[in-house]
Amino acid sequence: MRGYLGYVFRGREGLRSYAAFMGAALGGLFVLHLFILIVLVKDDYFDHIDLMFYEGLGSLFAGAFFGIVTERLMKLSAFGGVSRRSFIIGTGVAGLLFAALTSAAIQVMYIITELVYRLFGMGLDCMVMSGIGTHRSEVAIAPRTIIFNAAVTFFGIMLIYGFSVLFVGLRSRLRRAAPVITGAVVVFFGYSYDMYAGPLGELFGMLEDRLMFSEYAVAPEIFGTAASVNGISMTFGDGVLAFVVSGVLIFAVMYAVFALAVMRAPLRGRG
Amino acid sequence: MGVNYPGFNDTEPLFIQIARWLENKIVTGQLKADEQIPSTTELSAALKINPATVRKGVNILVEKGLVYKKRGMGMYVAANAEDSARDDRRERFRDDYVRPMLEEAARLGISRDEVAEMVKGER
Amino acid sequence: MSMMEIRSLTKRYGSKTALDDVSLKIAKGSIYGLLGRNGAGKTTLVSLISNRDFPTSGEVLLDGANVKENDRALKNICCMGAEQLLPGYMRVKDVISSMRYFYKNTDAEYANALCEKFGLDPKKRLSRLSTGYRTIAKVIFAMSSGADYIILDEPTLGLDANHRELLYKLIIERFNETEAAFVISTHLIDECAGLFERVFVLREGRLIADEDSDALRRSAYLVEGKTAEVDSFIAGKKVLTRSEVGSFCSACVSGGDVPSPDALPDGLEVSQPTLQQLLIAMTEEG
Repeated sequence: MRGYLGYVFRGREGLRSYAAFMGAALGGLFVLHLFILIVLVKDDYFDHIDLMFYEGLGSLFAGAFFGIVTERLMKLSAFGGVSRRSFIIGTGVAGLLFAALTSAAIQVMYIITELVYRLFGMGLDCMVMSGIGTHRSEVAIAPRTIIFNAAVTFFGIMLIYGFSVLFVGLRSRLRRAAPVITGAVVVFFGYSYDMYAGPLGELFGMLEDRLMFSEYAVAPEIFGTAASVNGISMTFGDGVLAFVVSGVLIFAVMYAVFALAVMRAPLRGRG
Repeated sequence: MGVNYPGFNDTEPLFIQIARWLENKIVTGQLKADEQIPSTTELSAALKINPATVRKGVNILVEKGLVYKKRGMGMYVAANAEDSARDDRRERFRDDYVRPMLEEAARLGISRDEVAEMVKGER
Repeated sequence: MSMMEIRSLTKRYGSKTALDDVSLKIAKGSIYGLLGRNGAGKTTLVSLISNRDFPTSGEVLLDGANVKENDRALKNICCMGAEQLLPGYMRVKDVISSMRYFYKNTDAEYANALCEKFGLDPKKRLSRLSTGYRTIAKVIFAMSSGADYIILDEPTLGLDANHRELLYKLIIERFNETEAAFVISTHLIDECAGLFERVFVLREGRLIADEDSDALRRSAYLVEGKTAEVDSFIAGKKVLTRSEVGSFCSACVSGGDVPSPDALPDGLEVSQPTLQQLLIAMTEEG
């Protein structure tokens, strides 16, 4: 097992491959931001842009790449005599760590881009700041903002990772049903979010609240403290924890299905 | 189309064929007394035959006293091997060559005298 | 002496039984032939040994420990087969350099030397290789893994005659060096017959022979002559196959001592089958 984990983090097809994909994707998003900056600079109307490409598209790319890497590693494991158990545990560990690393990388990209935008007299927003009014520039790259944003990004990445491993796991057992089932799960998540329906909907609702009132948590010295909003306490630590734990839980549920599927999957290759 | 080497066929047990191959070399003097014979490793790799089979073949020669083992060094042709092998072959000459010849002659209706004539006439 | 034991192994896919109560032993320091027709269960057996699939019942043990889901045991087993298991985009050299994470005793230098001997460009991607070279790549991976048990399922697929001869030579050389257990499954039986010390024969999922290869060959003989005479000779004996050519007939008889030419009735010829001929006779339909 140690050997396999070693490969996941040091071998060519594991973290290195994932990082290469992510690097390319984030680089591409950076170029996209610059392009948008150039277009908007002409228009003096904007001084802040609400763009969540790093967090949004970045998470989607992260999830897709994680799925690709996991599937490749599954094939390599079958070839290399790695037990299903080791592969499954390795995927879980990789999921948590890669997500954390990706979230950190996204924050770095966000900061760099924000600084570039500032050179042109503009500011770039992030998920956390979307609810905030006029004080954005002061708190945009403050440590608390970054950490809060990292937690939110981490949640988003864990969510997409979840869908990804669910898909890979289902595919190892039911080739054709996998996209349909995964699609249905995604739709279910979307519906729960939209309608705030069911326990999942409540979870999303709770996270949304934290997001909407994040300014009180992140910069109370500017925005004051809301002792409680809607009966929910809004401390910084609480907010960060809520997103991180929720992310891990949602990933864990889909990861569990992946684990169950792969545990008994025949890995005989094709032809 | 088995062993890709002259003198080997697909039907006889390989260890017997190996023994015969080595014996031929001894009888014709190509392998001389106290000369080292190719090692099991060499023979198996060159002929692409399992080394256990090669060993079995070589053991036949050991049992016949044609070959002996020098500890830590390998297998060597025995001092009187050439003569010994030749004697052995002479004994088998009748069964291996004369009998089949006479059987074939009988099949074709060639009389013993005719056969003897042919033998005499042969250079 | 390290030993792999296959005990009462059975594999069913729905109503089809691919392997039926197969038991055999594989010891380090021997080369085994795994023979049988297509669909006889050879590849299924290999997939169960390598943990790529699970038995319906029975077990594969390595030195007493079940191989299933056992990282430690699997580290000593390396299997290659006809299936596309590795991602096609990977380059040969990438696989070689990745192998040490999976097989501790991987000999990358040896792998590279083999690539050179076969004329395989290590920079090529697996999906870009011809059938023959893809097989060669997989064989190279397995042989350089340093595993104690190396299972080669159809290592001659797509190889030209020169490469096949080279392969057999390399197998013997590697075997002499490492004393690993080699299990080779092939359809080119006569070509490989010299390699095997022992032979396993599968027929429709069942093990019908587990013997020293010479002993197996000697267990049967061919009789040929006029149909009536052959038929009266083989009456009551275990006949594997029988075929007619005009008024002549030949039969493959198993069991009992091979009759000497003197003991045979006139007009009948007896001969030894090649391993391939015997195998065809043993695994013929019906």
